[in-house]
Amino acid sequence: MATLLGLLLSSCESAADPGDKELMDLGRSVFSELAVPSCATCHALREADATGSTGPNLDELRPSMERVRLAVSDGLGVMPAQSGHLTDQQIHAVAYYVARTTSSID
Amino acid sequence: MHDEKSQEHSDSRNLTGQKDGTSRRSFLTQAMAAGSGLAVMGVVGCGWDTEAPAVVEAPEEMGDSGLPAGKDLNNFVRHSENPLALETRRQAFGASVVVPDELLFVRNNLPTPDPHIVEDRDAWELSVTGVANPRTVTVGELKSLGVETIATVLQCSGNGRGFFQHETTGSQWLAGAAGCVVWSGVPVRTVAEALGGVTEGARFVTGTGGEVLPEGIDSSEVVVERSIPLEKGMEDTLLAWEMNGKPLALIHGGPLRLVVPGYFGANQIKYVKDLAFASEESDAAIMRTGYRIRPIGEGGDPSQPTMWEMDVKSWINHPSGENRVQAGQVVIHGVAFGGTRSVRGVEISINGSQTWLDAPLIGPDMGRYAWRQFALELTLEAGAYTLASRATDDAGNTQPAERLENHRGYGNTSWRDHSVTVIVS
Repeated sequence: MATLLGLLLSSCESAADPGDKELMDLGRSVFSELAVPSCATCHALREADATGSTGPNLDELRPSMERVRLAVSDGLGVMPAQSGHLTDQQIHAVAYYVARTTSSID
Repeated sequence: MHDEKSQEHSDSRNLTGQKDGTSRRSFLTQAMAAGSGLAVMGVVGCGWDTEAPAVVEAPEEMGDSGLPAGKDLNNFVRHSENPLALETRRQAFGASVVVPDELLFVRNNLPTPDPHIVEDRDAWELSVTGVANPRTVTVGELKSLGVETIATVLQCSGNGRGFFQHETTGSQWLAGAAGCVVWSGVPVRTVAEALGGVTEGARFVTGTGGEVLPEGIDSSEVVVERSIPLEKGMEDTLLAWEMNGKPLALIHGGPLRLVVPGYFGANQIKYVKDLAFASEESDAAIMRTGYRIRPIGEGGDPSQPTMWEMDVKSWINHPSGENRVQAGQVVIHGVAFGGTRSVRGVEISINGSQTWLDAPLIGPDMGRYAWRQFALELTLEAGAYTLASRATDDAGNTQPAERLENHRGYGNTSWRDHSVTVIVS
């Protein structure tokens, strides 16, 4: 069952960790380029200069990392499932990226 | 094709093993007939299951915004804003069978189209293909072909998803993604006849929604397009322009909506702009892989049962569990429906299913596709009670104790999940 509370991020890297930048860069790349269709097509996200308006505005929605991971993997409603062409690592990265930039996680 | 095979099972049985006769398109029936290997939890023996239903937190307000059709946010839980998802709170449901527009739930797959489409309703165009004389007809022309009126339960496939224990995407509806409304429109069969009849080989009726799709995306990924069996389309499926005595509101699919009595809401295409009599099911993602019943962990696939016919279900609306109840005489009331079948009866338990009491049906019977109200007066002393209702349809199918576990959390009719805990003091 999905809740709107952020989940423990045992694999999350702290802001000071150089790995964080890699994860964010990968996440941004997934968001804008690697996802098919790209997330930016339907979603608004300031950090990515995305202005899609078909689905929720992510800066307003502030989804948890787990919620993003699940939605990107499974799809929901007309949001397509991306697990067929994104790797687990890529999905993890975009989930971290979205949750981090919308401040759902610190 | 899978659905054809399941239709040929003349002795298909429902979840409780009872013969269901005519219905072959309930997803439970399809699942049983196809031997899909879904985990079906048997009815737990006597005694109350102490596991509490999954707790779902209401989402925080996402900013003040005017709601359509006179809806007051106090009567709803707003699961999402864009697309809009509003769930009717249990205590907002009345006892008058019909749910008025301002209380009816909202579930959109895509953003609502621009309101200009309901400025000149009669000018809205529907393109009809798969008939001898395919052409575009306007709502004005459809109104000249005839009118029928029907009361139906409108229910989201995901109603009850919030009770599933595994993580699911999608709105975590509890009981309120459902309502009973009255539609007026012209039967699809009348339109087909007026256009020279259905072409040979057609096996489905496919409706396409008139939303503007985002650019840069394959339309089949996002288009709201669903197919139903031709037989159902030609039976009592309507193209409706009126709901509850008023022109159909934009938020509920105006100016024209495909109404498929007894089927889940996803099939009832809003602002329908294309109607096709087709030999194959739509290959839109929302049909091909969406709205499919499949085991937890599996992806969607056209071979899996699809969310067509609804199954027997009921729940108690009052008391709703949100407020304390005064000890003494308490009126317990709720709703019950059988999908495509009438409700034969409803039972209520207040003691963890040890005993069941018959709950009288009250109010008008608005036909097999509408829901019935049930009500029972009981004297309750102070204490905590778990109230449950259990309905049986006219084919003898009884609402199950347990949900059918499936990946997307669809089709929850479990009476146990829908029970309410009430403090009487």
